[in-house]
Amino acid sequence: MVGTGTTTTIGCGKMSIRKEGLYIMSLIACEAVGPSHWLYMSSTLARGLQNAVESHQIDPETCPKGIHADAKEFFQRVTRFSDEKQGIPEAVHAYVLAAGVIRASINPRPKTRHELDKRLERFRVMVNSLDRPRRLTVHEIAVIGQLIKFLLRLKREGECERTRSYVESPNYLAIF
Amino acid sequence: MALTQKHLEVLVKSPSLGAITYQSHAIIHELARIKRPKYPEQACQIRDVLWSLTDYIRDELTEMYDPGNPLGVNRDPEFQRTYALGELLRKIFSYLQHLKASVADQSPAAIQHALSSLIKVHFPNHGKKNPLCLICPQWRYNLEYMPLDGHLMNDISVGVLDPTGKFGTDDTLELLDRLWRRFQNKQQVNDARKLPQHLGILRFPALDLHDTLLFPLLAHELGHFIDFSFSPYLHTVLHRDINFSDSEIHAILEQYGETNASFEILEQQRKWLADLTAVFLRESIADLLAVRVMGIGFFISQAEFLKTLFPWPGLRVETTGYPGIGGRLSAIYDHLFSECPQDIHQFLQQNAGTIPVDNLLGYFGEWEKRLKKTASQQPTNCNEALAHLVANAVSKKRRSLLKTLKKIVPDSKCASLSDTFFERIRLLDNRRPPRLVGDSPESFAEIMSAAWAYQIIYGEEREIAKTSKRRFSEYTKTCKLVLAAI
Repeated sequence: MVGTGTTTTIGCGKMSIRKEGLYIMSLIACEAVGPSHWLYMSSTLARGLQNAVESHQIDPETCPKGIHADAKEFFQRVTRFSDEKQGIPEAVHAYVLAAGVIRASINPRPKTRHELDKRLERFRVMVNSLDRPRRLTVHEIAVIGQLIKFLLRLKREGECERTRSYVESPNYLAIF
Repeated sequence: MALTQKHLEVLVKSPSLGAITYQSHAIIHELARIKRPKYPEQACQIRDVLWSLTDYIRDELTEMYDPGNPLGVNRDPEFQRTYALGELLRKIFSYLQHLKASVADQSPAAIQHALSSLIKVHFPNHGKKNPLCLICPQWRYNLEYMPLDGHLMNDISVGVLDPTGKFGTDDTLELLDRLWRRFQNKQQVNDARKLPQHLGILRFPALDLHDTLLFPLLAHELGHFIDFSFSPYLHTVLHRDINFSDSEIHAILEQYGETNASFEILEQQRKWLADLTAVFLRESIADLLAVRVMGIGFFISQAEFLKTLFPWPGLRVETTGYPGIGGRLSAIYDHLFSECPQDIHQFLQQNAGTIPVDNLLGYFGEWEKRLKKTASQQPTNCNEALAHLVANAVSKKRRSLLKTLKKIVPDSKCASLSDTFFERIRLLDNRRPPRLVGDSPESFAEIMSAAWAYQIIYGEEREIAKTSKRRFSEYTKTCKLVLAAI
């Protein structure tokens, strides 16, 4: 592919990183976080939602407060890009991550950006409502089913990134 | 007592909570060794922030251990919290390495003092914000600014540290503040301090630690420190108005044979361009702030530093997002000689007295010729052409960029030369430190400008006249004299 920059292809072991050395006077980027940052949130929330689907209801155990804060933060970053089309790295990175995760986890895959944004918005609304105990409607169960697939894939990406961080080191040849 | 079959089974299957808890103890042990006077005050203050976090993680890990449960772990069925806390500890340990590198015999006090002087004079609301920036050497030949506060904010997730919300906050900074207060209460600190909000680590190439004439490069890193002290970051605010349309990206891709790019490819390109823009903007901000703060001392040290490393002229925007050397020095030079309040040429011509400033004026003249003659390299492939888009987009924002920077370092605080500039050159010419009665942190910029002016007016000639061994001693002597004045 022409012109790929610092691209991460979703899926283990398919990462291509541009490595060019112009380090002088550098600054270590810190705005954007990868999928491993969301690993605990995605795994705990997916488990909570699986229980919610089984019991057809959302209760306080579904999404503990701290996990809810992280989940809201994730979707806030994602939708900040799709709503305002802001090019800032933290929003773009979160959006591209979410887009890749949706494509890899949900069928049928969204074919246009509009479809993609609609799915993400549906997830965001659902996540924001998880602090409200209630019985779930059929429609909500369907959305949660997709959200679980999304979170499990996000979790998988996080695990891959965490593993990579141990084996890919900029300065040393790590051999296990 | 012998372990049961169940215990042995679990011992094999589960990650070791004990090992991770041990790591937290080990980190605390190491943190406790960062003490005055062996380490600078800044290192000790950053130590306390890391300690407050590690102390809490240690307590959480201890609480997670349940001797009644054969798994030994409470409420962490997939061990994800155990993994996440372990990862956070390892990150804290990596930050601790910077504190250890700031030990007095590896990092001269003068370089930390120079940086602190710059911070004191130019950091916005210095008194209120209590900014902390620690300098330490590194083996790699590179200057790096690491926004430690930003890293901590990204490393910490509220869900991992406080999954049940016992601290009652969704906000990472607030959570860190609560942990800080918890730690101070535990330590029974009498004069409770506020959590320092701006933490930076600046890494300077160890090879150049004694090359005092390169100290003005610190101002570029100070520029990053200031940029990252704003919320949102200064470069992020400027970045908001910069976006690249699908058609712009399409046009470049088509030009290089990539027709019918899907929206997935456009997304990837946009992500890459966002990264490039962020880098280009923050480097431009840091360079311009540095030249406002340090004046000619920054231009000369930056030019001398970069030209020994990179081929001339480079691209307007390299595919890393960094400006190429030609464009970079042009931007600094133009700002210094056309946009800063003092007319440097006129000042030198009218006030030099007996000091022969022709060499210095000639040096600037040669740079001007070189910079004007040089057009940056043209893009030769798709990535370079895309990067070129960034340069065009940012140049359209130059006016608002300058307006913002002038608010941070107003014209009244811009580095300027005064009569004492020549006095300092004279002192160096007489092999004495360029220090004057009444010098303050503000004098740092003029001392460094005078040091470079001396080097160009007299130093180069003196070095050339000596044998190669003595040439080195001559330069070392100049560095030592300047160091004594800081």
